[in-house]
Amino acid sequence: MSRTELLTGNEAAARAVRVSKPQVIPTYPITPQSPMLEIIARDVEKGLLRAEFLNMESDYAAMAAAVGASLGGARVFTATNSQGLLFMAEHLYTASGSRCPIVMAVVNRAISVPHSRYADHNDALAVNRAGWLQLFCEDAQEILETTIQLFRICADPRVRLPGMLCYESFIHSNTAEGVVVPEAKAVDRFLSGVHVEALLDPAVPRSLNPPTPPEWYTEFKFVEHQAMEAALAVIPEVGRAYAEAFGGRPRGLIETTEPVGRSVIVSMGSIAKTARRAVRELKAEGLSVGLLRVRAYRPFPAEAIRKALGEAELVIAIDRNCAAGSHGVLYDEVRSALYGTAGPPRVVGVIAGLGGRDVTVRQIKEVARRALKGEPPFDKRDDAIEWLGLDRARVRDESPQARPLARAG
Amino acid sequence: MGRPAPLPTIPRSRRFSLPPVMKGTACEGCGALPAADLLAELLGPKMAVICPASCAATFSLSYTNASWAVPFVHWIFESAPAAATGLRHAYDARGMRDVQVVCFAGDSGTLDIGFQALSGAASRNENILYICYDNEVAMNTQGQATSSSPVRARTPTTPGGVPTLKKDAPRIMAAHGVPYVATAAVSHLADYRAKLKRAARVRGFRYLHVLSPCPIAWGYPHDQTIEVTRAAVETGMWMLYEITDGRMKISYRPKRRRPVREYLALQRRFAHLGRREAQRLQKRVDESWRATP
Repeated sequence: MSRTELLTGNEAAARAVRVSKPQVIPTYPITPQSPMLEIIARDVEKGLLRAEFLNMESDYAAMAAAVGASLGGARVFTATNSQGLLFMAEHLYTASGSRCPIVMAVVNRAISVPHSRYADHNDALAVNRAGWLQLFCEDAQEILETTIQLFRICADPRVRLPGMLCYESFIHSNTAEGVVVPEAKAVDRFLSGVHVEALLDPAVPRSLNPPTPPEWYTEFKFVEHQAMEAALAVIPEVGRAYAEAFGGRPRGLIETTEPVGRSVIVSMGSIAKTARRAVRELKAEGLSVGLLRVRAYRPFPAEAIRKALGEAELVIAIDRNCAAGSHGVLYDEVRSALYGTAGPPRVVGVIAGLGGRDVTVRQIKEVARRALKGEPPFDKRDDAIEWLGLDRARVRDESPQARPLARAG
Repeated sequence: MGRPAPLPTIPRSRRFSLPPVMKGTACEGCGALPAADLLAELLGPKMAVICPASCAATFSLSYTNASWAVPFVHWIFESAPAAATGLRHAYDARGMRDVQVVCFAGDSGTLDIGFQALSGAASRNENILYICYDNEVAMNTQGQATSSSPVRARTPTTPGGVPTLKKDAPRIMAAHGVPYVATAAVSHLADYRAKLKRAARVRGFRYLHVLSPCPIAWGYPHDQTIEVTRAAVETGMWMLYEITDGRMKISYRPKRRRPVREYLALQRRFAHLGRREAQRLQKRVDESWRATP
């Protein structure tokens, strides 16, 4: 019997880990992922989860151990975020290149400098070319479901790639919500087909990772690419299977309001949840506004997005990320997906919620209204991008706030 | 002994030529090869080898050839002990406790870039066997200095000679409180063999440090590897010992230590040293032996 419990995002992930039964869990603490690890450590101590819980000497070593364990045929879970994820970067490639179906929670947190413990997506997006699946959650229920689903998606023989479960620092990790928790035995059945091949097996000795000549390297990368494309089918398939087994709505690559409307807000993570309410209220005002939430960012669901936005005239991409000298990733990738379609919608961008800054329903409504009217900066033909809530006074040179690295007192 | 023996020379153009990487073979006279060979002979086939970027990784496999008959992975430079930790626990979780997990790494992968992972695994007393084959340079990249390069030795990145002392790796590892630490040398294979056997029987973190000279980096003819290694041991420059549960025992005490200058004279990397510098090194060696139990 499933039952509803009050759980934070971290608790929801830990609960999902308990029932998904990874065999090896290499860890290194970082705020705010560590409360989850503590729950898992207690579960292992109490015998609620039979796993090797490893206290590694760094995030980097945690990922190295995760790959080692996966090559030894174990089901592996780990978690990190921000600096820890960047420190791991080298082994993220080891994991995907070695085709290890490791599941990792990434509690999205802004990257230093300037130092911050709060949410944005720049950590996961900095490694968006590392060959990992990246699924972004909007609430605790989805965190629990996506954790369980990822064990099945990643180990699917068509995929065999590692996957990140992305949810936001504090906004998700430390906020409690009602979560329907499935029964352990039913999860066993749901994950019964999950098999991790031991590539390092004394029964079948292999030598891995030879120096690969130019004649072969491309083929390895193409096979990885194919696997990622296969995940476009496997993610919704597993989402449907989950809904059939445990109820709830089937989760796929993207999620849209019905109808999607002529003007569409595109976002991911917690901002999408806030935007859902903004959209409802704007609709009540008689505006034709909808929402498209990107759940699977890697693989990028370009085709699903093209289909969903076929009738749209305006797309407002709200990005909780930034890249100096470039744009938000949703702005860039959605626009790229739509380029070349017949009568594509105009795409404008909003950079919002960096370093944990709140993004409110009122702000989203206001920015959407301005975009609809084509008010500045949305009157620009190209790269019409708003930095939401930016305080220009703080950016001026004479302001002491413009020197945040050296604040006295 | 009177004057130092004349220096063996290797033509300048060949000193730092690339090893035959893509053939999956070692260079002639490679000191790491016997270290790997004996390991494979004594522990196989119930083991898996994790080998970080190094000469050994290079001679262990090419795209079409594999040298090891056991599971082997050419690993990222700085994290072999961390990967070994994961693999060990995967095997444990899957009931494969009888399989040895072995790291076979060079001195830079062990003591420089890999040192954090090494210390981490030793602190956790992971049940893995770690073998550092020490050629005292980063030879996979043609011989740059490492923290294991001996003081005053010339390398391409220390053309005036290494200014600092060789890192005392085995004792640092022993200070972690691990059950077994030993040094060995490829000239004394019976000793190395006995230590490998003992290490294989111990549970927990085991560290073996094997002096494995490189003719190209050290500058001696490739058929002299065993003689040069023996000279390191007989002059007392390299000490053979074991530290079992914290107790140190010298495995081999030369009856009459040969003068250090005889060891130096065999190698081009010390060719720039004058008599006073050789005397200083001799004094250091004498002191280190006086401090032994």
